Amino acid sequence: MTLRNNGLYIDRLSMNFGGVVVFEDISIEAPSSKVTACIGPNGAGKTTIINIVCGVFPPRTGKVYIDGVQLSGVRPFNTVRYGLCRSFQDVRIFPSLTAIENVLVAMPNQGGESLSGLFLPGGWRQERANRERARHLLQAVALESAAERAAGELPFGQQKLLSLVRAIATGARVLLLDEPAAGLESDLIPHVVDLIRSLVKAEGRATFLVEHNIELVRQVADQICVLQAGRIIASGDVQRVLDDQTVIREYLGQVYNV
Amino acid sequence: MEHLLYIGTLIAVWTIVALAANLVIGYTGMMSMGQAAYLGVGAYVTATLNILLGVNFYLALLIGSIIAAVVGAITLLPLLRIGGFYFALATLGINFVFFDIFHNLAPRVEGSEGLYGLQLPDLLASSAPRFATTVAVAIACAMLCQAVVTSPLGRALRATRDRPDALAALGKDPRRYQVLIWTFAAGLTGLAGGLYAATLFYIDPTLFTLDASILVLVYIGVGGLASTTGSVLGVILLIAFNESLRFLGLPSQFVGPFQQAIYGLLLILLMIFRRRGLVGKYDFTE
Repeated sequence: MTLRNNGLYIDRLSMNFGGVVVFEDISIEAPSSKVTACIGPNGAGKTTIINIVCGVFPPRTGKVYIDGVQLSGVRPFNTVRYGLCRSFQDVRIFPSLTAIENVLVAMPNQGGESLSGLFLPGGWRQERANRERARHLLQAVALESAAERAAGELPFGQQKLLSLVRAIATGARVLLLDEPAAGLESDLIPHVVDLIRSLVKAEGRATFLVEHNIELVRQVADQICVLQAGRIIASGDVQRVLDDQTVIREYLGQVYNV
Repeated sequence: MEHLLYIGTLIAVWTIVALAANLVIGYTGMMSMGQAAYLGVGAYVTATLNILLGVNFYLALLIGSIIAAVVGAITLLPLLRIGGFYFALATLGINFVFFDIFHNLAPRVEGSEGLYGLQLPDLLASSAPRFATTVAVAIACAMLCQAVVTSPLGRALRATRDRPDALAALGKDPRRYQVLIWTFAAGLTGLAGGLYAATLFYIDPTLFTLDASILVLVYIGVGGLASTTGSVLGVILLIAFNESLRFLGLPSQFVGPFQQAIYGLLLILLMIFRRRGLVGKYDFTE
């Protein structure tokens, strides 16, 4: 139970939409410095877990803890204050902002984001430092050459990478990544792997990854839970779970196992 | 010459209004159709304090813009629950409500008959210094607005306009930026209202009807959304165009309707062919 004081801990969560039960009594631990992947078929409730943690919906029952502190009063706009940040399945970048502005806007506690900040030299000094850090983050996913281009003009794959970098730029201790590889061309997947390895694991963040790309999960995840029909059918070590016969039968199928 | 100075002063006043409207509409994506309400609040508070209570004009102007800003914040808060088309419709309601308030203030501030007799300081008392002072204030406002939009705050405003849900997911409440810029813009518009009163020497409720709010939309629509230059350009071109009608020799009863028809046509052509206006950086289809 020591993990509950370290990273994200979802405790006996139940959720239903009207009469439809999404999941019942599920618990997941996503400790710091580790990537916890959640896999399962469409409609299993993976994104709903992220939505509940971020305060989009209240759960029917259950609690969520960050570093041992129970979350209450979380709303989508104050998640970062609680140490959480999410990415979306669709990219939701700011199309008229440049790529670097997309990253900059995500950075917390910017003095220059108030009217008084316009007249204080500290705000502009901080802006220069933030810009440097944003360039460093863009370099990590080979987007430095697109830094000054409008994000809306970038190809989908680059927008997706940008949305991941943006989530990391918030400085959140817990990242909830919703299908970061969905729609990405295969040559961009290594960037996602590198990003998660270098910027997430190395900086001690707890990462809860919802993903269908099993190869990506195999490369970055430390542990997996498999959600199927409202319950967790397997969890734990990556290889052991992927080799589990119930998981193969109910989700992965024999093709993957070959 | 006297008339040219008067026109120049009007251009400066409307430039301030257009700059403020562009902050909320062009940069933050909040479709305001009620900016004339805040123009009226600024004008009425400034004129009332100055004429009826004998308050120094500059102090009255300052109080007028502060009260316009406060009124802006108060009127916006309930509107934050709604979005898009309904938000625009509600701002229209603000304009109607404040027109009625101005109209029914009688007899204390002479209501629908308007207010006369401002006690103006030297810098605003005659045409040339009034023109210079108002232009100086408009330039200062343009520089301030440009500083806002090029700062991290301006970036957050554009992010609020593009994807408020995504901004919220990054831990920043878009409503904070909406309230901040709406309040600031209402304050600037209130300041313009006080200067408008000083320019005309006289105010009455008909100056602050929906026509005035639409006029502001046309100015920034023609000049360009999300552009400080666009705000200035739109006002200069349209007021200059308006004045040029004088030289067509039209009977005076046709000038008003002709002008409105041209403005309407301009809006239609803009929507079809150039939604960003002349130098704009944003349009609502994005």
